[in-house]
Amino acid sequence: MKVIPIFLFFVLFSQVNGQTPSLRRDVLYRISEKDYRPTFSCIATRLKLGMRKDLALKQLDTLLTKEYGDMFWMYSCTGLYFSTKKILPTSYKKKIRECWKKFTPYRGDTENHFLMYYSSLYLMSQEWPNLSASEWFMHCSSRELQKESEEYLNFWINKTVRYGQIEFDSPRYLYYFITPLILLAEYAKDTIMKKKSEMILEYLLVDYASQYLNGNFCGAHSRVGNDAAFDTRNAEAASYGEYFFEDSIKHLLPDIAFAALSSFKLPPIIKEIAHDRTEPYSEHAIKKSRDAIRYSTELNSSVYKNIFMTRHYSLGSIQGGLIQPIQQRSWSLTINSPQKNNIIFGLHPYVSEKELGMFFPEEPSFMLEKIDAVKNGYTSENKWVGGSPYESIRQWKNQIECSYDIPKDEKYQHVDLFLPGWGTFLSVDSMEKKMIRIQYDSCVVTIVPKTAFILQNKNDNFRLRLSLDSGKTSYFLACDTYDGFNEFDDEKSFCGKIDVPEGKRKEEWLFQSKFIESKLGSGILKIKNGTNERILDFNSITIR
Amino acid sequence: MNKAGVRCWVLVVRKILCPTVILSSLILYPSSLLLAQHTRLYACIIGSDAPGSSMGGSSLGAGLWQSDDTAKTWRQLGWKHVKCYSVDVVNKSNGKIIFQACGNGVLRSTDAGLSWRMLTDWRITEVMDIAIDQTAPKNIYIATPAAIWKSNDGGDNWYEADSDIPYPVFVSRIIIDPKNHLKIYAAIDTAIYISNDGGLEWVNAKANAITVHDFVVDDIKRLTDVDKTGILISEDTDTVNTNGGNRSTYYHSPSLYSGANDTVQFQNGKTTNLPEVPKNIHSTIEIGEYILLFGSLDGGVWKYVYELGSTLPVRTGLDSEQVWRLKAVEVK
Repeated sequence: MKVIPIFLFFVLFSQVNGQTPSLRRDVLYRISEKDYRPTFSCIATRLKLGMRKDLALKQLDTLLTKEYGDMFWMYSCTGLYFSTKKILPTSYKKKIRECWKKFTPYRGDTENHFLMYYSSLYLMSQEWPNLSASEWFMHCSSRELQKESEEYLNFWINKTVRYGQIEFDSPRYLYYFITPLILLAEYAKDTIMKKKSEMILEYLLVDYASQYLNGNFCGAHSRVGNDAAFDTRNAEAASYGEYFFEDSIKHLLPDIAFAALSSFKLPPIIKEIAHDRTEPYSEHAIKKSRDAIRYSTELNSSVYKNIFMTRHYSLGSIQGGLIQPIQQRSWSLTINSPQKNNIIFGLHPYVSEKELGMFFPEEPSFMLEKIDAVKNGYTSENKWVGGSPYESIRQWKNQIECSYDIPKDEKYQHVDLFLPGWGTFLSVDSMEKKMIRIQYDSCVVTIVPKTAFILQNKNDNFRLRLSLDSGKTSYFLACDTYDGFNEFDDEKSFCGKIDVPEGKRKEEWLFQSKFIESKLGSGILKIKNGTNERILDFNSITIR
Repeated sequence: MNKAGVRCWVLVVRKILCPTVILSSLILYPSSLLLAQHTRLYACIIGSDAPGSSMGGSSLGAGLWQSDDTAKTWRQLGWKHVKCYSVDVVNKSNGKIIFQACGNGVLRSTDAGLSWRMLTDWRITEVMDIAIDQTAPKNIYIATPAAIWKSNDGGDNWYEADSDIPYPVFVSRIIIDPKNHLKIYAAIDTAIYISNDGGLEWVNAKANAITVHDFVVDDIKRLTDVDKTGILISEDTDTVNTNGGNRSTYYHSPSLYSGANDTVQFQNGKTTNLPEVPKNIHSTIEIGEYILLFGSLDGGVWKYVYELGSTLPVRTGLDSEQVWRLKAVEVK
């Protein structure tokens, strides 16, 4: 009985130019058949394929009855509406229209929230262009909503492509950028908005591709969830990595249906960049911190990001400090291995109402009291995500130096490193020398703590805990392949190395690597691989 | 109908029908007597006490709630899900023109809360407080985590009105002096700023800045500021003596009538010892004689009635909602 749906699939999608038809077919059929909890994306898939249609409409009834209150509801409802517009029964279109009149969704407080909110409002006000104010939940007319949404989207795109993204390189939140941009690129009628959306989608995906290593999202992250803290292949972005960069998907996220239902196709050069690891390379990039609304002298400080990529491992970092609340990952070393938990990283477990007050408007002391109910484990001395204002990081290629100067009145007076348990400790006496050397597959990791430490075995992994000496500690870490490994000579091999792109000032470059180049403020991003080039020019809204 | 006929009908209406209707109404609906002139309470809710409903999240109960029976019952007005930090009402509108300071921006209702229009755009977010100039209600001030904004046309257009306040400008409260509508007080995270010209220019009222969580200006023009360590009172409304004064640590958030020596002073001058209040009180108001209402971030509005041998405060609605602010307005 699958003959008809498969035939329908080819009728529906054979004319569009998305990712490969077989991949899209695979994604959509698997989403359609799997019993996920009801989501707009699953329902849209089933309606589009004509599979389990009665169930889909029943679930849609449920979703449209319950009053959902935020931008997550908005973008997914918008996705369903547009992707099924030609086949959705009129009665359901009317129900959706009513929801946009009566529901009053929260706009949220982050970059991804605002993008979801305004991309949805943009498309829905485009769909119903002449409605009066009383027909919308905001009591603003379609024209007013279209204007405001367009203004915000232009503001965000212009700022991001010239001065850097705020919620950058997030294994979890990247998908909340990709999905609304796919919807804009696919369904915006205005050709300029459509083109801009395609271009910034490419911008985000090439940024991801250059830090992608066989399914892993390497380097420092603005935000990483607890689930992906030890292995980014568990994160939501992995699903999009597989969809855009690979030929099959293991980690199937229902919302990827919106990508598979669209005609957006990744340019081959970006896919090549995700895979070309023939030669090691460094990439330097500038990002932005989240709006610091208290306790800071600058709203959005610049974040300087480094990544060193090889086919065996990748080491990446930012300069340290507190640039995002709760979920920051300041540095990580990712081993390209099929083993689970393939990341080494370190942090000072900073816990403070000041951190929460810096980024959230609510009462700081109250937030600290309640935070564990919102972000589990934030107050734990053993936590594995989060930044610290007392951390300072320098990276030079495959080596990193992390220093900590922690005041006495801070809650936790130690620094932790996570070491996956599947490595092999190379020498027993290395502890006495204050040098730890571990082999992970073909990589050797050397860590030199500068103060006393203990190694704790926790759940088959290791926690390396450094204590402070007069409030301070630091460590060096280097990684190399076993064959090419040279004796790591403590900091002597590190000092004096300059952490900037060769011959260039890091403050001047939004991106600088062999794959991506963009001068700060220029609005022009050059994507290159060998002799192939693709230039995204956000000034003229053209791709060359 | 001639003039005599008209006069006759007027007499019938005045002397017979009206009293009959009023009397019947009072028999059938005794609460209408209460509603004729009463204190209307507003509670600003930022989320429920369920995990994830604040700090970037939201919940169905977030928004503005109203009570017309001294906090016995509450009903939600308009928008759900959107955090409400503050509310102000145009006094002359008899409760019809209401402004909400919300996570999404500023909402205005001109029909006592039946419908709401979003007045601000993407530039303004997380509005922490709102103050209407009651002598010229088109003039409205709002406090946000990044700026002070002002509208001169009832909220339709906004401009930044904090040019001489250095960053960071996290403004938690903005208050208009009850005796001088051009004098504006703004609680910035590091200091109290005062403008004497309706927001054109600001001066830092505190040489030695501390974190200001909230503050109030009372009827006798005492400026009271509150930080984590308690309450400080200025007697001249222009300076706050950071070295003097008694800081009460009892209330986390301000009660204007809470002062030194653990006492509460009511508007009528009577005093009582401070009651034992729930944790995380974020707002305190006095209504009627001897009644204090507390809004708790742990959930609920709490009522404390001061009488001889009085009992502890009791919860009186919105039990699972985080109450950021309470406001009382007289309506007919």
